[in-house]
Amino acid sequence: MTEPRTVPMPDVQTFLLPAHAYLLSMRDQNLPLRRVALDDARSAYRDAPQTTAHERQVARIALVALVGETLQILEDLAAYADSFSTAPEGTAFFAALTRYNAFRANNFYAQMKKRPPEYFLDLLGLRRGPLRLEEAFVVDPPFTDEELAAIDEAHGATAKLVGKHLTNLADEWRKYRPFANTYKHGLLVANPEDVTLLNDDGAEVDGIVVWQRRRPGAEGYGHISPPFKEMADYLADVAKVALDVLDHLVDSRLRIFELIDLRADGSWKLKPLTTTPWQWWFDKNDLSEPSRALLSARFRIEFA
Amino acid sequence: MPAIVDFRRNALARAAERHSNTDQDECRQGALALLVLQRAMLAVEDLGGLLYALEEPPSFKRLISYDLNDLSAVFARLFADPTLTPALFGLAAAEAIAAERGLDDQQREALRQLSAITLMRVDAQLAAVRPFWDSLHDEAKKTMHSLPFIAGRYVVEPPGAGMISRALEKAPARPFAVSLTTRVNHATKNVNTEVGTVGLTGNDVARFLAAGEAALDASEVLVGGRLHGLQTNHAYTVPKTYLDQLAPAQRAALAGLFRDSDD
Repeated sequence: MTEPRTVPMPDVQTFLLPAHAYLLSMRDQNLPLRRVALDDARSAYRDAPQTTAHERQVARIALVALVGETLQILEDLAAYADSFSTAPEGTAFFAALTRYNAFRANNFYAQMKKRPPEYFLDLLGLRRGPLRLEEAFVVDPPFTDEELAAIDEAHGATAKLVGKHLTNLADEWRKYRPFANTYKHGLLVANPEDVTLLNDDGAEVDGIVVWQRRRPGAEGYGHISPPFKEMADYLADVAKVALDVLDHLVDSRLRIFELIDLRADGSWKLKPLTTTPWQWWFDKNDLSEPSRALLSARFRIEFA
Repeated sequence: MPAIVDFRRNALARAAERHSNTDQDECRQGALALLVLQRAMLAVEDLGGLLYALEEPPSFKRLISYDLNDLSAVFARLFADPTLTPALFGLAAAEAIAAERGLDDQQREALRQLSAITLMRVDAQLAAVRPFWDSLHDEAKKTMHSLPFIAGRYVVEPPGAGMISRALEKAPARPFAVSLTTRVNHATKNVNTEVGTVGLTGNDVARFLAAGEAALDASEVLVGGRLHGLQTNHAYTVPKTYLDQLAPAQRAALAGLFRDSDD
């Protein structure tokens, strides 16, 4: 039996119960909202008739709406992830999450390439500063050194995958942000009947352009070129990755709550550890075969 | 703009349909209700942005530069100044109709009647839009920015949401969402999380839908009239949107004035 390191339990009424309720709401209400909106936007674009010029313009708007739905998920992800490291001192993560900051998502994604692996371990709740999650619980029998090394390897592989996804999503955020702004503010998609796009050689080209907000005059922004159907598929894939990452981050935190029996009066007690308090998610090549075998045997789990 | 209105109308109708077809899971019902809220409010924002852009001096820059306070102000001005709605919608006044050449008396009377009906309808649409905007645009914005909502059931059912449950003075009918807004006072280093509620029942969703549709109807009249005015070089027009509301004799008098392709 190992002695867990002493960690002061945050106040239940101020921190744990609100955080628990928020995480459950993310899982059961907020993420389903995004999933259904995305599905709806994708099918609306796919099924949009495109016979007349008017219908083609409606279809272009539908594609911009798909960008909007996709980037709403990226913004949710940025706000959620950022809140764990930016909450004002003495407050829970949701204090930062529920404080609107127009620059938060930009700043979050701008820093993504510079983030060290430790940042992602913290973000996933796999450690808090120097304290590893597995050290916070009584484990019987105690982990061997080999098992601890394998856990470290799996944690690192998970952090690597999440970091890779967030770095890729940062590029999408930067590229498509003006389209998402357009979706939320007026849907001003330039109509090809009014606007002709020219390439650097002066030749006419097709593409979707939106009018940028808060410019001195009519200034277009265009990063969507035909074929538009492939673009729609690509955007839906981006959105799915963002949803998967957000889902994983929410689930990682909820798993920790599964180990604590919280009561409305503020009392609590630890539950027996019957499952892993974390969820691993990695590329198969990032975890060695011996580590995989060791972890499978110890936790009676199979890796998909 | 007609394409935007068509898109928003279909998107709102699809969201409402998905809401009406959802299962009994309270959180999923809430999720779909929030989607209807968001899409209805986007339609209202489109209308508000257009009205703001058309106010003197009308400009494209105003269309791409408004903020939410600008829209609140323009909606308020529409109710404070009775001349503003017909002016922004470009509705022909009785004097303009009287001065229009090439019309007989019967046509002038029918156009006056159609203009009055249109204004009455638009006023009713704006009366549905304004309270919706005033009471819910902050909450609708939250559906687009990081989702600071807790599902009502997790606030009222054990073990609850701690201080957030305690801050809720009275729980509305379910489903509902608790919206959170945190403000930081840097001078005092105080952090305050405000707790509000958004009703997400079937009646609430019907209200969201009605307000969104009213905004779309008003946008359609606004755009149709303005577009026709530009095409025919008229400062004022009478949209044909409510032509079917006229008495048959008046409708017949106007038959030659509107083509099927006219808005």
